[in-house]
Amino acid sequence: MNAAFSSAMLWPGVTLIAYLIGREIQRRLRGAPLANPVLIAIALVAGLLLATRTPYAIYFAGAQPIHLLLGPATVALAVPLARNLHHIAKSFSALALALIAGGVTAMGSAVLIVFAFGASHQIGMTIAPKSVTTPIAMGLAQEIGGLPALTTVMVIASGIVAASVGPSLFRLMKISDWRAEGLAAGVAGGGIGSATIAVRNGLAGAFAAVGMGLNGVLTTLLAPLAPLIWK
Amino acid sequence: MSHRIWSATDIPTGFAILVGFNVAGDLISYLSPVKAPGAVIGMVLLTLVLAVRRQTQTRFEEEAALPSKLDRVADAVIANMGLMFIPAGVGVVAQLALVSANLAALVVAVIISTIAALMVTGWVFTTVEKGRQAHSATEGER
Repeated sequence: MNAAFSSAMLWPGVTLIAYLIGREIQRRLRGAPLANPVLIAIALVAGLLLATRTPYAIYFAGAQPIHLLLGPATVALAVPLARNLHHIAKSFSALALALIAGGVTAMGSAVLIVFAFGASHQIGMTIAPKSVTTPIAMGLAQEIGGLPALTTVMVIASGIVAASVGPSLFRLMKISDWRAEGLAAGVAGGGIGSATIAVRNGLAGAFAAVGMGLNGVLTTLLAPLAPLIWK
Repeated sequence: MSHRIWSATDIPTGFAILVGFNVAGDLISYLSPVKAPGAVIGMVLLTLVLAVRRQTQTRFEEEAALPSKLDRVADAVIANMGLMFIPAGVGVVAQLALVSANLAALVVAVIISTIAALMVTGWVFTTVEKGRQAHSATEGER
């Protein structure tokens, strides 16, 4: 080979196709939360990189056009949050207390569990923002010394757990309040938890949007405290 | 319902608002001691602006303005957000050794803490709401 082939759209193209394949697989499995399109796409691209011996740095530099959209997409979360903010006024104290208790539980228990397992400070900072929506979680992991890539996988896994066990858990707890279930899905399960419950009930979806947005803010404020456990 | 026809030329307007708040957030993050990603600060700022606007709008204005250019672009971006996680997420290939060394801790932490957060959030919300409703019911009887 003399002149190596190069195209600026090679890695964005690969990323798009992997995402489309992931979505198609989930559609064929009737929307099963476990068949998450992002996880499937990550596995496909990772497999391709390993097979072609392409260093991750080359792929990541090439896929920047897609990666850079995360910032504006995070800002866009303000729209559903503002749209549903009026729900807060009606049950402000319940929502505020549940949000704080749930957000602290999500971050605190995850950090304490990996600490109990003897994991490193870096693993702790990677898992601390796991219940927040992915773009915020990635930014936070970067900020407090975690690994944003692994955080992404942890967030998706948490969303899958919340979406899968949520309904039976609330039946078990004998809670039949869509506001409580929606808020919990948003606080504990981030984007996947919210999207899954929004399909089941509109009011739950609204509370999930509020829970997800405000837990992002709460965890941003609390995250700098997480490293203290390792000191 | 909107009386305006949604047009593809609305995209730059909506996108400019998102990018503008992102840059403003980055600037605040840079200038202040707040240890938060600029995009999160941008999200909080935009939420406040939208909430204040909604408060001050009359009903007629609200109907005429909804769904705004920003709303349409934001909804479209959020609906396809998963795509944007892929480039960073693929970075786990560089961390597979770390993942397998901590696999048990990570799996247990994700499952237990997600279930705990669901239960605590749901329980606190319903308990406080029940207390408030019981309180306002007795208030009403008086």
